[in-house]
Amino acid sequence: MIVTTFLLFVVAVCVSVVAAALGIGGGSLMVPFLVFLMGLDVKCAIALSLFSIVSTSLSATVVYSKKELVNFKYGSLLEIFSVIGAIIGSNIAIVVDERLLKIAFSVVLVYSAYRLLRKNRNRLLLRGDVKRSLTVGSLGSFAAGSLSGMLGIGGGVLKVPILFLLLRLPIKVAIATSEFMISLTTSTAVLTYYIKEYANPYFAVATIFGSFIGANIGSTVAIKTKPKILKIMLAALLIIFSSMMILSCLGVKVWS
Amino acid sequence: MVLGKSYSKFVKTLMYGFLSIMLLTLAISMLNIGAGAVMMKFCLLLFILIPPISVMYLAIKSLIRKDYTMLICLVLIFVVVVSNILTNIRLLLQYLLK
Repeated sequence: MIVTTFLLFVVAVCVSVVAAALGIGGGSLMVPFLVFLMGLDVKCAIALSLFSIVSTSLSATVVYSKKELVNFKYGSLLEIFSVIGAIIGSNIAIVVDERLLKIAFSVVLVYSAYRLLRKNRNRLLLRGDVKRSLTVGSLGSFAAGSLSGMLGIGGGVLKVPILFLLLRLPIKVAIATSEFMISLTTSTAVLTYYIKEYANPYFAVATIFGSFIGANIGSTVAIKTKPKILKIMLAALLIIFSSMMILSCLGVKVWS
Repeated sequence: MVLGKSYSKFVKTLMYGFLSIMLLTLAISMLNIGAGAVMMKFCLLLFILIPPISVMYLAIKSLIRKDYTMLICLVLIFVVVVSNILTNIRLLLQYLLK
């Protein structure tokens, strides 16, 4: 019990450093760690990862908002569409072919990675473009929510590209706003797992503390890192995710 | 004070508060496992409730700043989160009072 609790703490610290620095929740990194390396039950792993995400996103939001990097207006506006998308997505997941969805998702991620790495000289939005970008961003956010509902993934990998590429926010602001949005989304999901007692309370506390420390380190590092390096790291993460999706469609058992 | 800084301060206070209560509960559970387990359940619930509380804080702030677009968005998010809690309230009480 004590060894497992300590290991959970260490895993939470490591995953949260990466998650907070790149604006993702970290569930897709945490769950495989807990299941394959620590031998925990999948439901318990998901519950613990959700606790970790709440802690990571809250701690990261505290650090980022102190530096005025969170765009609350865009964050709250897009979050509504994400939440609605997630509710609809989880309900229509049964009728839609999962393999097709995963392929579509992978294509979007690869394209986002390409756009992240491409040099973009004209990044400022013109006054007339704001409305159009917000509309497209809302649709994108709705799609991100639906995909997270259907595929059971966190929204961060999609939210950061939406904020950066469609709404043309600076990469650090996009990462910070994504963390703010994730903290709101996860709080609804974690309650269900909490009530059903999937997670041992002591394990949950260890994960929360680990994520708290990791997220503080990750977000502080991200603030000091050059935007170019953050973009490369994010693009690499998107390519890894899309490769995993494509491989799982082909029936190859990978990480998750 | 700018919105980000005051939000950061508010959430930081809540987080540090709940995390210190959690540490206290861990100490209690070493002395009495039963009482510690019950307290731990409450601590975790309070921790989960930080995001909805922070949304409410932002909503009040945006009302003061007369930013009605943001206010509507935040109220809608708050309604979704609270309705999720209310639909599970029976199970939640069962779990807490068990």
